[in-house]
Amino acid sequence: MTSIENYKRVFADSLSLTNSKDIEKLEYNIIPEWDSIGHMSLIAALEEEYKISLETDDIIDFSSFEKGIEILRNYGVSFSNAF
Amino acid sequence: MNKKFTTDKFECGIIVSNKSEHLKIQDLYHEVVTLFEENGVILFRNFNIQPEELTEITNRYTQKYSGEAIRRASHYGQKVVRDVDTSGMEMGSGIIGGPAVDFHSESSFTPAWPEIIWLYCNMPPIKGGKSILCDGIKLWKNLTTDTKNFFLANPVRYQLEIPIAEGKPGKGKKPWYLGTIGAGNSYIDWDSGILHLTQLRYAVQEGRSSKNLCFTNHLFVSLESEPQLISRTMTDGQEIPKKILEEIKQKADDLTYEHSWEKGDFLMVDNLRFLHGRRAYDKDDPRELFLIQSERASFGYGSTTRGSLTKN
Repeated sequence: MTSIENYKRVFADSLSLTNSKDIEKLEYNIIPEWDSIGHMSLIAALEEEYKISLETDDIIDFSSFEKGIEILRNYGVSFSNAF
Repeated sequence: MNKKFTTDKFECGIIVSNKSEHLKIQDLYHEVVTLFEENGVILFRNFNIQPEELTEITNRYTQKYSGEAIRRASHYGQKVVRDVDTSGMEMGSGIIGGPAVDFHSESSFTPAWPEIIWLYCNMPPIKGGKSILCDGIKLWKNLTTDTKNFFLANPVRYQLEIPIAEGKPGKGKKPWYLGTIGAGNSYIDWDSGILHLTQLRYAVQEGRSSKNLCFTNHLFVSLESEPQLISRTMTDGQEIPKKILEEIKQKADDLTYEHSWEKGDFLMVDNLRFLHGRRAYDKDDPRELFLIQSERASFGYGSTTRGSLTKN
């Protein structure tokens, strides 16, 4: 079991977010930090954190903070306090 | 036309000069888009732009910025505001010298090829370091029919290795999907922090004015000066014919415009139409230019230049 706070931390660290406010509303390419390069770092950080390897289709589908939770659940990651 | 600013044609585009204390570039949206699509280069002067507010302007004209690799430093708390020159930077004292850079369309060999590039001069060089520009429409028109036919029929294959991470956040090799036409064979080697890919791209493309073709690409620079570019061939692996390369370089030289920078100059360039580069500059003649790359503009391609067959 992992916490949503931990998931948020991975997001903030890998995308080098200086302001983690409203992180739950983040979507791909909406902020400069989550661009195609940032997406690579984010996926690598999540794989490292949760010891998983995401399939290409899931990497493409990983289009928002919320969608990421749904995808990670399919890899056996469960969240203690998700929405 | 709004009387708060004036326009003057110059050799390579149009100069928009501010005549009002409170006028902002982002408030001239429709005028700027129209002038940009028609001319391809706008030089903004007398707008008293501070580097801290560059993205307030560019955001208005941008739907998406290019995902820039790690080779250029960001500035003023704006991730997309980056150095033009990639080495020898000392904040406040400019880039301390560099060799000439041949004509190219910024990142035209990558999936993140920007539609617009913005160049801001924070510190002009005194003697050297002029930027050079060449209109890809004029260049295309000047090429021989044989050369035109060659590039219309044959895309160029760029083999790339792009550094994407310094901290190595992953391990091993991972296949990657870039979602760009012509991009393939892509994977990330997390042990080296390098994205490997092949990008196929035509050297000529349709301009914002649909009747014109633009010759914009990455055929002019040497592979030695562009470390991300591992090889550049035609799709069959053959080298680009030497005779053709000599022709395009000669004709681009004939169409070269040299821009002497002034502090605060802000240049908006149609990167799919214009080639750019720079002259060499010495250690004792520093310059500081910032670059912003709008991968996708906020306005449609040809949004102001296409007409109807019928009139109202």
